[in-house]
Amino acid sequence: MKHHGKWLSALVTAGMLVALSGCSGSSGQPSAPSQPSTEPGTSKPVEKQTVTMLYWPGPESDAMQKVVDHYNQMQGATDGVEVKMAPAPREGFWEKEAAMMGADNKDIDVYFTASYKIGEHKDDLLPLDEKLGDSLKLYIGTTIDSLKNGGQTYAIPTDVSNHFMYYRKDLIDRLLTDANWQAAYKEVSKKITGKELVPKKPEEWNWDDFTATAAFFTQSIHPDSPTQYGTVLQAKNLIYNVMIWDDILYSLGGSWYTSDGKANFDTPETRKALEVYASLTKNGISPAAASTFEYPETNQAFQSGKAAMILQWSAAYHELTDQAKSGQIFDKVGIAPIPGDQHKTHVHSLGVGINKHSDKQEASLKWMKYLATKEAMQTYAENGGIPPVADVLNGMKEKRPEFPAIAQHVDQYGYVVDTSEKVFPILEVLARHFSAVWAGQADADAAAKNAQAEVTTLLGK
Amino acid sequence: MLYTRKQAYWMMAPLAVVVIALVAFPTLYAYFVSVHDARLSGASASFIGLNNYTATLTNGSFYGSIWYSAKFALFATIAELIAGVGLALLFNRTFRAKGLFTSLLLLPLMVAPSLFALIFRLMLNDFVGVVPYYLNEWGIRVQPFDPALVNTTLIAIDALQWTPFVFVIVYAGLATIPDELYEAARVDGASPVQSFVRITLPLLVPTLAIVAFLRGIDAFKIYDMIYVLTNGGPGELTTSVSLFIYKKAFLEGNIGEAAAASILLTFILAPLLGLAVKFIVRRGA
Amino acid sequence: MKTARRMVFWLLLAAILLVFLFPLLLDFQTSLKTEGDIASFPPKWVFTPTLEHYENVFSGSGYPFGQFFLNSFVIASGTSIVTVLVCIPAAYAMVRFGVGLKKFFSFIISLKLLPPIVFAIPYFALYQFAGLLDTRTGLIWAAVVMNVPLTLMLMVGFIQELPVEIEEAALMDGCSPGGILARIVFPLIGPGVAAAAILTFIFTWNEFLFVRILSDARAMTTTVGSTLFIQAYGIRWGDIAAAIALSVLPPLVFTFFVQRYLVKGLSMGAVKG
Repeated sequence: MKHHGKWLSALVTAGMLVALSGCSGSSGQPSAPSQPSTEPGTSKPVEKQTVTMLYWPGPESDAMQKVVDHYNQMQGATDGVEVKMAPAPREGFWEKEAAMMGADNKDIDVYFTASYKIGEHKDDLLPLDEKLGDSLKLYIGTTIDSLKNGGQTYAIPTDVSNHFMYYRKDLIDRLLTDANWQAAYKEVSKKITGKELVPKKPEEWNWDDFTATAAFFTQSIHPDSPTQYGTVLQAKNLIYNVMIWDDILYSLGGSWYTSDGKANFDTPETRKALEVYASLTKNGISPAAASTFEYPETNQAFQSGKAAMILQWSAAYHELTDQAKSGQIFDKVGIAPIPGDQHKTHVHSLGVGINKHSDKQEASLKWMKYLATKEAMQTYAENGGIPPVADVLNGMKEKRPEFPAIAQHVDQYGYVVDTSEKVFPILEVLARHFSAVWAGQADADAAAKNAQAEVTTLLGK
Repeated sequence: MLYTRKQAYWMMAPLAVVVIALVAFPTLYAYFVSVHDARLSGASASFIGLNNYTATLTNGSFYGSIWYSAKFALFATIAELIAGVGLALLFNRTFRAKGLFTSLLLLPLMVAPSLFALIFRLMLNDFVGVVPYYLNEWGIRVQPFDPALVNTTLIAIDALQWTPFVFVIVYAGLATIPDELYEAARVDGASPVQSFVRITLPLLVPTLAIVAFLRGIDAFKIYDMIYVLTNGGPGELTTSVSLFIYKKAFLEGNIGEAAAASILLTFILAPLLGLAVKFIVRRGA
Repeated sequence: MKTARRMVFWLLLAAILLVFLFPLLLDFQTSLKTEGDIASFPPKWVFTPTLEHYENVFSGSGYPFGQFFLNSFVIASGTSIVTVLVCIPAAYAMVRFGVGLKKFFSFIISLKLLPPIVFAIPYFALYQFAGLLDTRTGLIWAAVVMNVPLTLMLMVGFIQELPVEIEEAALMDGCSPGGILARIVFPLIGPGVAAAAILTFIFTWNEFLFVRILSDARAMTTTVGSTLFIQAYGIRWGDIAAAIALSVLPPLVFTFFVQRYLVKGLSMGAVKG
């Protein structure tokens, strides 16, 4: 017994010390600047304001860090501003930011935002139209629209996202030339879509062509297929996956809203778009487990050579064509517009806006003015970001072959679904009802009706 | 009695201060919010009486999520109890390097559930995962995340993580059973199975009840793992009540309804609590 | 016959350990693979190990991972100590005096029933007001509330087991109540206290929700820090595997040294009910 007593009192004492040091350590040091090298030191008492910017982690923040470094070393010294990025986990990022905004937080000067969040964030952000003026013309028009709410621009876009259809060039090329494959294709298409189709170029596909080609490249339907699955959907109950499915809805002529702003989900287009996904799942063209898939899983399916086509975000191109990461397929990746009678791609921007409650709005504005220059966006692009600036994108053709395509697709096929504060709640309703249909667990008609009813209630409030 | 009432209150004071300071505010806040049209976006919240409560009580998804949590808790707890008792019996003997093996067996507890789920997200992946690959090699064509199987998979993952917890408590419980009882049984000619049924099991019942309570409650609250692996889908097939509240609050931004759902949940669980407390303190002072 | 039985035992033990440790072994293996090897199929068992992910975790990621470890350690130990220190006297008063054993105890156990998500929003508002956001102190208090129910439950169980006669004798000898608690009760329930502290340490180390919502960079723990490698586009599997492997290590070492106290403590009485 004595032995334990000794052992425990040692533990308690040690722990106390740790706990005490923990208390003083955490309350004593307010955010120290992360770059001591740019500190002027004690000899030169220059008042430098630190602007704290929340940015979500990932390639975007790696690229942004370079822009920040650049600014702190050059322009920032003149402005008397030092920018610091606050890391935050990607999981639950928006929830946390919302909690900060709800509490009128002052620790963050520049908030991260996005097209689908701008409506919620607008009450905490400063309108920028007058403050930045012509600088906003730098960006592709749709991307500025995607950060507007009620005619005001609340953030500047830093990164643009759209979707491509990625396909295996080697396989589609063979399908377009090999007579045996074409004969088999006819049979498969008849069996799955009910129509005898002829292989077409990916740029010309509608959803029947997509389904038939995907079926052709599915081993359970066409045993000679070199790939196991034709496509691998991202069908997890997740709002980002609804954004991809929206492309089908819009390409079939559907939309979220009627022209007078009412919910528009109880429509033939919604049912048809749901059926496209459901039939891919039911026929085993996309694996049943896709109901837990999101971006990384779908990418892995394509990278491992097990899927012939995927609908995926434009940011994936860089990864899929990297030999180190995608050794099996890096040189066989083709991109085409999302299929459909009319090609459509969801567009959203990530961006940054100034916290209305910040005490350092002037300093933040200086940083934003720098950020809205071609120079800053060029640095951002060179370090892995995708800035919504046509000149920058087109100028980087050699290094990033997909950039001109992004500029083109965003401009030509892009649609911005909504920038009101209801986007997230609506996406959540759609994810809940539609993911069940995608997985073949619910009926398209009932889901469309339920979504219609719930979204109508949401809009009514 | 040893002490005066006053002294006893002083002893209670630290805990009471900590708990009341840290619980009273959130609770009052939750009640306040539950009768307002509170939004995550922070826009003006007007008083709406019991609307949030009626909205929750007429929402089929709310009951669905409670039912799911209850089922999940039941099956996960049963699986973990069986496996945990088995392991405890296996370890209830002397063998070489027992301490080391006990520590090793406790390892899954050291991983945060969210990170544990992430490991499985890679491990069970159809395209690069190790498990589907070998199952396929052996001719077993299953997809662990097929909607038909997904709940079994989730329970299995929960069991892999938490069986060690059940194990360590039951193992500790076994250690308290006096050896003389077993010896007496052996003298009477009882087989190992008989002595398990007649001695071990009855004496273990209180331990099992407590561990079932602890695991049942935690499994009922399941959130991290489901959030990482299925996010409640497809549809609402795997939506637990924690996930339901989380989505209401943070995705739909409807804090008012989320608070109302939380409060209703406490009322629903209250009778269960009464039972549990009665059991824990049944011997009283 | 005996050797055969022993063989079966060891085979069974090996199989069980393999099943339970497989996820972690695989995680460790993944952490040593290049991204290309991770994505390759069939799975590679022979590969050239790389330490790049460990380097990424500490230096390449731009996140202060060393700081995260320190935070985890401070928060987990601080929580264990505070929880135990407030629970012992309270449990003692409850058992020996019957104060609050009905209502207050039930109330505390009821805290365990509530999903932590319920507290997330009010805590953020409270901490914002009190200046506790992104501080280790704040995270310790939040974790204390989450861990008090189990610890108190265990303590009440332990103290119920103690024979009251020793304390009565001490009282006769002129010991103050505080002295009895410190010199007699505490040593007697020592292993039980250790068990409760160990469990609290592990649960706090693994806490996810509160740390995610109430911390930024300064007070973030390794558990949440590891998820920084889940990004808008994709998951950096190698880095995350390395971070997981590293974050398991301290509680593993800790448990290795104290596991016998865990078993000893839990068998003290509480679990007998």
